[in-house]
Parts: sequence; C-alpha cells; structure tokens
Amino acid sequence: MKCLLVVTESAEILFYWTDAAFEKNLREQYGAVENTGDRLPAVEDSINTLFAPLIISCSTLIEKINDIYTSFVTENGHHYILHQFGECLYIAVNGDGSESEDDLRRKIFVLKKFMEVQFGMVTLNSTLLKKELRPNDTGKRGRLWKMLQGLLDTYDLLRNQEQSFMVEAVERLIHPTLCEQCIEFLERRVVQQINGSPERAGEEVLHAFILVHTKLLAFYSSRSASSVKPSDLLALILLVQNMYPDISDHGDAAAEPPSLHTYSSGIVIQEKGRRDLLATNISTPSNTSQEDFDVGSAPEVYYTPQPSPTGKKTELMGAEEECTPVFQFVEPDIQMAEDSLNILESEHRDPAFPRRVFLEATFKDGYCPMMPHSMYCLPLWPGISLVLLTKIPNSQVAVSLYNFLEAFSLLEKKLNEVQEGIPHSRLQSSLPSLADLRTKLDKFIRALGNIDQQLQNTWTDFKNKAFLRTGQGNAQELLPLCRSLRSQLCAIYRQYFVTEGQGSHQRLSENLQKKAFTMMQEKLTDWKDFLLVKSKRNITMVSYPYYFPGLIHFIYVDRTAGQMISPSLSVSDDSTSELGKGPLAHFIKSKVWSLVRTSRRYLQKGYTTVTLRDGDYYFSYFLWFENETGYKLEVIELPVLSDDSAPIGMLAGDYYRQLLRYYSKTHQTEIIKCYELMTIHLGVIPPDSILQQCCDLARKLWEPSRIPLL
Amino acid sequence: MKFAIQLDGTFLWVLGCAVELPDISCTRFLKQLMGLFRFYHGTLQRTYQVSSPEELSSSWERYVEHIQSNTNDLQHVFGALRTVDRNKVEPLLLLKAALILQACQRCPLVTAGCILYKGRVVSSQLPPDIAARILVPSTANCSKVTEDDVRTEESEFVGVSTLPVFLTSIETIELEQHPVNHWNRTSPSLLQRSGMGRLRLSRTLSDTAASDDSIRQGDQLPRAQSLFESNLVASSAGLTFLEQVESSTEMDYLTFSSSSPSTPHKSNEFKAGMSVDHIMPTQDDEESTWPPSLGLETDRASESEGRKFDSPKEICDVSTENMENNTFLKGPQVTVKPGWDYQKQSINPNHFHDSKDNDSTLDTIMKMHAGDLEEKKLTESDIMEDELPEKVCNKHSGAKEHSQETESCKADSKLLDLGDTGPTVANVLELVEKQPNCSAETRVDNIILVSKNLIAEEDGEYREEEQDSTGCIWTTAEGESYDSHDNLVEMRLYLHCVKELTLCLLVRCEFIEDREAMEKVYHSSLASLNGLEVHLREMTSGEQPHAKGSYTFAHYDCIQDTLTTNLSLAGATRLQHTFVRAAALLHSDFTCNTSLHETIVRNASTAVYGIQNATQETFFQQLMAPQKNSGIPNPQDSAFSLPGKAKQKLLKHGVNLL
Repeated sequence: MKCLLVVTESAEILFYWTDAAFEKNLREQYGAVENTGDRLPAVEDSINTLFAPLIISCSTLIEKINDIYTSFVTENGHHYILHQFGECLYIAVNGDGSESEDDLRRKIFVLKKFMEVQFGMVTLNSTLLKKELRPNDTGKRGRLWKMLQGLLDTYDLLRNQEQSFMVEAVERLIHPTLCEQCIEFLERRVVQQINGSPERAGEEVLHAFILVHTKLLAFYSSRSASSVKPSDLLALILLVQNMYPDISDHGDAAAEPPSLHTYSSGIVIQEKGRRDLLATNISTPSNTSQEDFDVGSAPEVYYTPQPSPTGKKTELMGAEEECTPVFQFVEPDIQMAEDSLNILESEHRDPAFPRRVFLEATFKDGYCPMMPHSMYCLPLWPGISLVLLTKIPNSQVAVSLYNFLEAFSLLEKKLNEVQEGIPHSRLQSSLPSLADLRTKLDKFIRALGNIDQQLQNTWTDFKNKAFLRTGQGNAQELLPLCRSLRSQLCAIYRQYFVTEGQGSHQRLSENLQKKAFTMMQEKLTDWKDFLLVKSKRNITMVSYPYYFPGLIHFIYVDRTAGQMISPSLSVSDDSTSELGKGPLAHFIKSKVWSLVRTSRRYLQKGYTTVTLRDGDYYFSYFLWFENETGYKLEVIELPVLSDDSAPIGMLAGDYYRQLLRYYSKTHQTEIIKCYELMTIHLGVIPPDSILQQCCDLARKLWEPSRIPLL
Repeated sequence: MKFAIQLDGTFLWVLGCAVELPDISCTRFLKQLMGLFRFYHGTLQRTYQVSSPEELSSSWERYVEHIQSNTNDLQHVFGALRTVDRNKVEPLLLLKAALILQACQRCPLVTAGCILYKGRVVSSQLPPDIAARILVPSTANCSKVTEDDVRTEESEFVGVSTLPVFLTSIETIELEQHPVNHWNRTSPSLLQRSGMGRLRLSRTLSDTAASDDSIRQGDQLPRAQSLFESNLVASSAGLTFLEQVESSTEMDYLTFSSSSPSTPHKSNEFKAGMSVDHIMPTQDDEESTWPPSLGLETDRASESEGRKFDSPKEICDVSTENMENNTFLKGPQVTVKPGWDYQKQSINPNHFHDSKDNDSTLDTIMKMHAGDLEEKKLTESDIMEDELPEKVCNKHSGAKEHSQETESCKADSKLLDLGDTGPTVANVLELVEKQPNCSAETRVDNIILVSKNLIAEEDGEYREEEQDSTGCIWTTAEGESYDSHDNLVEMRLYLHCVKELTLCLLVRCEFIEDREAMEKVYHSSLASLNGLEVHLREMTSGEQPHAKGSYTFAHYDCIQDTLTTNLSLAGATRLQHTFVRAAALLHSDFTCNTSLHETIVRNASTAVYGIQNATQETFFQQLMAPQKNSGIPNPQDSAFSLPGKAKQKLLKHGVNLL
C-alpha cells in the first residue's frame, strides 16, 4: 500500500507512482477498470478522486495561512507525508506500515533528486516543470511516467536490499589491485582513445566508471573534470540499475537473464500487466540499429551462465550454442514488442544513444548545480556495466544560464527589499553588479542569436525600465520583468538541454562506443565471474570475530567521500551467509535497518553518539570529524532539526554536506572529514569491551590502505 | 503545530500541541482532555444540547489551563499524575491518608477515593487517569469551597461539596474490582444489627485511642466483626497485624472462598425474577438493609428484620461478605457449605443471561485485572516501603482475587455452552423491564451492593441495570452498539476540603440523598483530615527548591503514572533543557520499542542515559562540564560510565536500577 503523488495546487496530477496493493485498493474502491487501452488514465482518475479533498484542503491552507500539513497519521495507521517544492505538492502514502514517516519523506526527496537529474534547472521553474512532467502527448507522458515509476521501484527495492542505498553512500568493490588496473585502463585506453578520436562529435568523456551490480569497481575522472558528487553518483548507479536490473538478485532466482535482449524479456515478465498495451501502442522506430549494435559488438550477448541457485558460477564461454536461452527464439513481432519495451524503459530509441543527465559541476571559473552531461551505459555483462559521462558541446551555456538565473534571483530579492521600504534611490547602489550583468546578458543574447526573441524583448523592456536616465528603476515594474526573465532563462535551458536532448543525434559515434565496449570486455573477461561473486560477498564477516569477538555487523561510512564499507548482508533464501540462513539472518538485517533509522533520528536531534541495548543485542552509533591527517576534531553542538526537515542522507537531501559546511565554519583552515560507524554486538559482551572494539574497528578501517579484513 | 484529532460521534476532538512534543504525548493529552470532559459533563452530544456555550467555554478554559499548567516540560512529556514528594512526607502520614480512604470505603456507597494536598495526590485508590481528572475541580473548588454548590449543607458539612461525574462502564468496573474495596468494607447491616449506627468508620492513627468503646462494642459483634475491628486496631499499631490476620483467617474464614463466585449467581437469580429467597433468605434480607433511597427508619426496620435471622448460618454469610478478602489469604479453598454449592448449581443456567460472548468477557477481565494491579500498587506505595502489614495483605488479596476471578471466569466459559444465547446489554435491560416481579429498584440496587466480586462483565451490566432503574444512565444518541465509551455511568464526586487538603470520593448517586451515610463519612473522616492537613502543612512548609545536585534524573512509573524527578520546576537551565529533550525522544522510543532496554545518547554538551523495563522508565544525566571529546568511540569516554553512576546515585531516591 504505497503511493507517491506529485500534483499541482489545482489538483492536476503531474506524476504518480503506486504499488500493486495500492492500485488494487483503488480498483476496489472505485470499481473495476475495464481492461481497455485506457487503463492508465483510469488509475489516474481514481487517484485524483481519492486525493482531491486532501489537495483542496492543502491549497486552502496555503492560501489562508501559507502553510501546509507536513504529515498525518490516520486511525487505521496510514501515513501521509506532504511536501511542497515550488508549486508542486508531493504526497507520499504508506498504508501497510512498512515505511516510516522518514522513509516516505526520503522517497519524496529521492524523487526530487531524480527529477533534477532528469530535467536539470527546469525544476527551478514550476511552470516549465509541470509541462515537462505532464506532456500533452499521452504516449510521451506514459513513457516518462513509466520511466520515473521504474526508478522509484528500483529505489524502493535497493533501499530494502542494499546497505549502500540504505545508508546512502557508495559501496566500493574491495579489490585494490584490480581497481588500480581498471582505473589505469580506463584512463589510458578508454578515455584517451575516445577523447582523441574525431568520431566523438564534440563530446568529451569526463568520467568513466565500472559498476558491478550496485558496487563501484573503478572510477576515473579526467583531469579537466570537476568531481562527481556522491549523491549524483548514487543517482547514476540507480539509473544503471533501473536500465539493467539485477533480477537474479532480487527477483526470481531461477531466471538469471543472460543477455541484453533477454533482459528486456525479464522486464516484460516483471511488467506483464502492461506489456500488451505498450506493445501495441508504441511504434518501434530505429529498431534495426539496436539489433546491429547488439549483434555486431557483442557475441557475449548470447552467453548464459547456468541458472545456479547455489550461486555457483561455471565458465560457459565455449558452450554458448547449447545454452542459448529460449528467449532468443521468440517470434519476431514479440521480439519487436520487447525491444520497443526496452526502448520505453530506457526512454531511448537506441541503446547507443546517451541519456541526458544533469549533475553538479564546479569549475575554476564557475559552478553549475545541474550541468548537462551525456551518460552512456554499456552493459558489459549482466550485472557489470561501463558508464561514460561526457561533456556535451554547448554545455557552457548552462553555466551562463545558471549565473544569470542567480543574478536575477538576487536582484529580485533586492527589489523585494526595496518594495518593502528601502528607498528607490538605493537600488543602483545596492546592485553594483547590475551594469556587469547588463553587458554579460547582452553578449549572451547576441551569442544565442535569434533563438529566443521573447527573452530579447523582455530584456530590452527590462533595460528600458531599469537603466533610466534618472538612475532610478521602479521596483514594482521591475519585479515581474525579473520573474519573467528568469522563467525565460529556464525555458532556454529547457530548449537547449532537455527538449533538444531528446530529439537530436548528438552522441559519440556507435563505432567509438563499440570499441570501448569491446576493449573493456576483453580486459575484464577473466575477471567477470569473480566480480559477480565478489559483488555479493564484498567483505565477509569471516575474519572479524577473531579480532572483534561478539561483533555481528558493522557499517563504516566516510561521509566526505560518500563511501561506505560494510560486510555483505545478502539474505537470500538459497545461499547461506555468515549470518546463517532463514529467520535469524532476516532478523539481523531488519535490526541493521532499524539501527540506521534510529541513529538518523537521533542525529537529526543533534546526538552524535547513541548506544542501545535492544533485546540480546547491543547497538552503537558514532559520528565524528577528522582533519585530513586523521586528527580527531572535537565534536560541536549540531543543529537540532525539526521532524519535518529534509531527511538525513546523501541521495535524499543534502544533510551531510550541510553538516560538513556547518562544521567547517569553525575550522576554516582545514579540510574536514566526517565519519560514521555503526556496530551490532552480542548483548552479553561487556560495554567496555564493545567500546574498545568500536575504537579499534574505527582505527583499522581508517588506516591508509582502507582495506578491511577480507 | 501538531494536532491530535479524534472522531467522537458527530463531534471532532482536536488538540493542538507544540511540534517538539512527541506524538504519543500529544495523543495522550487529547485522551486526557476527552476523559476530563466526559468525566464532568457526560457525553458531548448531551452536554452541547443542555449547556450554554458560555458555561462550556469556561469549563474548557479550566480544563485546558489545567492540562497546560503541568509545571514543566518534563511533565508535559510524560503527562504524569502529580503527587506529593514522597521523600518529604512522613511515611506514616501516607499510611494515615490511605487509612482514611479505606475507612470511607466502608460505606458501601463510596466506591473509591483519593486525598489531595495542594493539587497533588497524597494517596489514591483510583486509577491514575481518574485521579488526574479529580485534580481539576479540587484545585478550582477548594478556593471557593462550598458557596455555589446546591447540595452543600453548610450547617452540617463544612467544606463539603458534591459534583456529578460520569464514568465509562469499564472505569466503573475497574473501580468496583478494587481490592481495597472489599477489604475493610463493613456491611452496614452488621453495624446496625450490632447497634453501631453511629459507629465511626475511621480508625486512623489520630483517633484510634478514642475509639476504644467501639472495640468494646465489637465484643458483642459476631466473631468476624470483632476480629475485623481488632485487626484494624492492630494495623494502626502496625505490629502484630499480619499474624492476627493469618490466624483469624485460618480459624474463621476457611470456608468462605466460594463466596465470590456464588454471589453473582445469586444476584443473577434476582434479575431473572427467580426468587432465591427460599434458598438464602438471610442473605437477601441483609442486602436490603442499605437501600439508598430509604431513610433511617427503613434501616432500622431492616435491621430488626435482619435480627430475626440471627442464626449461625447467617453470621457466616455476613462474615463472608465482610471478609472476602481475608479469605483470599488462604489459597484456593474448598467450599464447605453445601447450601452454597446447591445454589450455584441451580443458578448456573440463568447466569448466562448476563455473560456476553466469551471473548469480550475475557477481554474485560484482562482490563480489570490490570486495573486491579494498578490499584494494588498504588495502595502499596501509598503505604510506603515500610514493612507495613497492609501492604502485604493487599498484595495477597489482590493476587488471590485474581486467581479466583480467573477461575470463575473459566467456569463461566465452560458453562457457556449450556447456557442460552448471550444477550447484549440492551437485551439484559429489556429483560429487566419485562420482569415486573423483579422486585423493586431497591432490590436491583442491592444486587450491586452484594456483588462485589462479580466478574467484570456482569458487574458492568449490573451497573447498567441499576442506573437504568434509577434513571441515572446516559447513553449517547447513537448508542446502538455496546461500546464502553458510549455508556456512561453517573456517579457523584464528594469533595471535602480542609484548607489545602481535599478528600475526594467517588460515590454512588444515592449517597448524597442518604444523609446518614454522608454524615458517617463526614464525621469519621473530619478529624483525621484535619490532623493530616496540619501534619502535611508542617512538612511541606519548609519547602525549598531542589538542591542542586550533580545530576538530573527522571523516573517515570508507567503503572502508577507518576513521575519522580529532581528537575527544578522553575526556569530550566540549558542543560536541563537538553535533558528534557532527550527524555522526550527516549520516552517515545521506549514506548514504540518495548524490547529496547538501555540507551545512551550524547551530543557535544551532555549525555543522557535512559533505561526502561515493563513498569518504569528512568532517565539520568550528569551535570558536570562535558569532557572534550571527538565523538569517536572511546572506552574512556565519561558518557559510558553513566549506567553505573545512575545505579549508584538513584538508589537514594528509591529508584533501584539493579
């Protein structure tokens, strides 16, 4: 019983996501929906009916007291969390008790993050965002919503399965040698080769990384590139997981999908309810290029590891003929449908076509929170992907646009102040940068050419009103112009990077992608199976009990780098982990999850150390700061946040970054690092000994090698 | 802002709280407020039809003010009952207060009560939530004492006032099942029969010496009564009581363990219109000796009537009633009396007119047991930790009573198959209406008096009946289904103010009509109350602000709903503020997660230790300047020595964390 909804104040649904139980409930409540092609709008209508009273009540509250509900719990235990971003109201609902209020709020913030990655600075303007989220074209809308719904599904799954997504930090695959080799390979072979090639169509690879499931094997950034923020990296991993879901891990264990093609079948199976409709509705253009690509580039597409419930991987490279999966020989039109579905899922007509993502970037001469990048995801094998992030040719426009937007918001703020009483005459003096802004924007508009006449007109209008001979601008007249300029700047951004990105053929040439793909595959062929197993058993608890008797589990997070280290906690029914099998393992897992929740709640209220004795277990949580040399810095009073503040996390919200900034205020000369350690011990271990262990563990994990016991 | 909202029929209860307050405290406040309003006004529906908005708004102001006035933030978090500082008050005074209450309870029309001093509970027999409600008028009423109350009789009862109050049937059941209720209760008929019409009910410290004559009179009483009296004397002496009780139980009350299950059966017989007079004539007559609507004459009449049956058998029966509790002191005993057995058997089928379906019966009993437990503990602690005999007795009686009730309940459920369909309350009421030969109201009332040990559900229903017949019951307009919240029972709150001290008694409606009963209660408690007031004033006069210790603690007893803390009531320091915040956070965590046992939370300025078990939560904070620390795990960290310190320091506050 889960639902997430984005609506306008006028109760128009901009996006919705529901789970099966919620949809079923809706259907029961509003009558069965006929099994026609109108299924999508029907669910939408019922949701509309269901939430209308709430939305209207919210609108009234906003109107009357300029405030809304942040959360409520109904008598039957349904949790509702509401949050407003701009003019969009986000409502998250849980009716089965599986999510806490914090989880729901987190989901809202994660969706917002997805939107930022998807639409960039368009999210800054509600009108444009509404257009973007609810395109008039039903087919396009369906595709977009499906894509976002898929992301939320993936997020929901990963948050419940992967510790890295639960604590919202990137987990590295611990294999220093291979990691080093890969980085070198990425630098020398992949990135240099692409960037040196004339076929790159003006793009430049900034970052390249290899993912094994959700774990990061190697990450390379070119020297000119700004670093990738951990939250962006997490979002990218999620995108990749969404494109190439790890079905073997979370879904039906028996059906390990062998190839890119059968992956799409896997999706069809997952989404079988929607398959028919989609297959008939959507035309399938440029299908051929995909086939070409697949066939030409990767004979391994046909490789199928034997479905092995015990997790045992056998090398079957030579046996591809015998093991060709049944999916390969489906009828051509079904195949086509699946392909088209694949297209839908990834929203690209062509796998070689990059996905536009907006990531934060900092340069020597500027900063842009949502810089357009192209993302190429090359699935080397199921579960292993090579991801390339490239700079697109006109991305500098985004930086300029951001600067102008900033300048105009500042101006607007000042004008508001002026309106509130500061004399008009001070307008000019309070805005020394206005002249500067004028020349820059003039230049910018000239550079843009005649792309946007409207912007030019508004700007001229603004100039006429602002730069009067008398030296006085009328704040009241300027304010609306300011706003209009801002929305037009956003519109240009949208036109350049969002709309354009969907239609143009700007990309690295297929050949170039193929080359990178093949090179990487060759490099990792011998490692493939190792990596797949390793990703499940990254670190094991095997050697820990010797050094840390009584220790059951731990999570160590470097919040500055956004990375975490933790023994793997895969609780699948078919394989035994160190925690054993069955209920105990599930119990420990649920305890780990609840420990993270608890520690977050206390951190929100400013507590950096928490220990809990719960049943037979002893939990502890520590957060501390260090400088770069490892000197432990004194803890300071942390801000106490309200219950409805942004969630504590990296993917959802920006808490740790703000925390670091907050701490840096008192330590401006140093680079501050923030660490967290969570442990679970047996309750019979004396607390003193537990603390000593935590202390040793923290030291051990900090050591320069950062290599935990393996 | 944070709102707690509750739908109540066509009404909506909404309470706005500060955001910092935990959710559980917020909903608790609303429940408290709802209980408070219902307690003094009955159902919302009726109140809003009857009362003027002005009246109500002034009441509302009073209630909200009361809820808000909870001294400090910590109180807001726990919403605990305010009690006098037990560390400052002489334990004997608490014992005395408890005895005053017990003495008052000997009047059968008095259900239970509590004694308040300056708006704080000194001693209480009431469940914490009801006691909390009584705090409201007592604080308001004591200032204006009696002027405005119509029922006050200035001439005779100085400082006494009564108020109508409403309890849900569940609450009534809890009160009725009160162990103290049975203990010490004297059958009025007995008093009258023995010519003790003017016998004072109270035997407390101050007037024990003066009551020698009554003890002498006791010699003329049936043996049970005299023993009872002497027990009381012994108890006030606080020495040989236990032995006496034990010996007396062994000697005299060995045979009466069946009284409790059989009494309800008998009562049911009445209701069903099947007279059992021929079986137990004495019992019946005896019951009629305290008819609420009748005056002194009737009493005398029945008294003389009662004397007619002054046979050994009757005496036994009487003592059964009086000493029900004492019988519990001996384990499960075999019923010796054939007559009672016979009665039990003969009546069983009828009995199940009253039993609702099994589940609900069991349910209520569970609640009732919980209530009993509460009561028991409350009484225990009231009497203080000193090894006083009362404490032991109560404990015993409570426990035994439970087992007995459970047994009877088991028996009921077994027999249910034989019985006819379990009618709902409505049916039962109908039944009563259809039975013109169901004697008179008095008889129904008498049933109440007899059936002290009814199993919960029956008791509730009897109450229904009684109230129905006396026209005191209020049900909501939509009260179509049996919901305890919809069925309110009207009672009276008897308030007797002696300066800052208030004696509050929950009494039956008939009590205020019954001049004699009122006089008895009034006169028997007056002297002791005065004495208690003087002592309490002396003890609390030298009240000083809490001495600054090196630590802050809060100890919350979930069962008694009391909070012990050394946190000063006035403006809290910053550290204390952090303590309150941590306690609020931990409290809501403890409430949500019962497997959580111990917690230490630490920020830069302070560390707070919290520990909980099933019955209590304790929070402890050390007030020294925090050591410089980095927050990295460190065994030398002072925060982790908190558990040991808490255990050591809190011992002297009577909090044992070991």
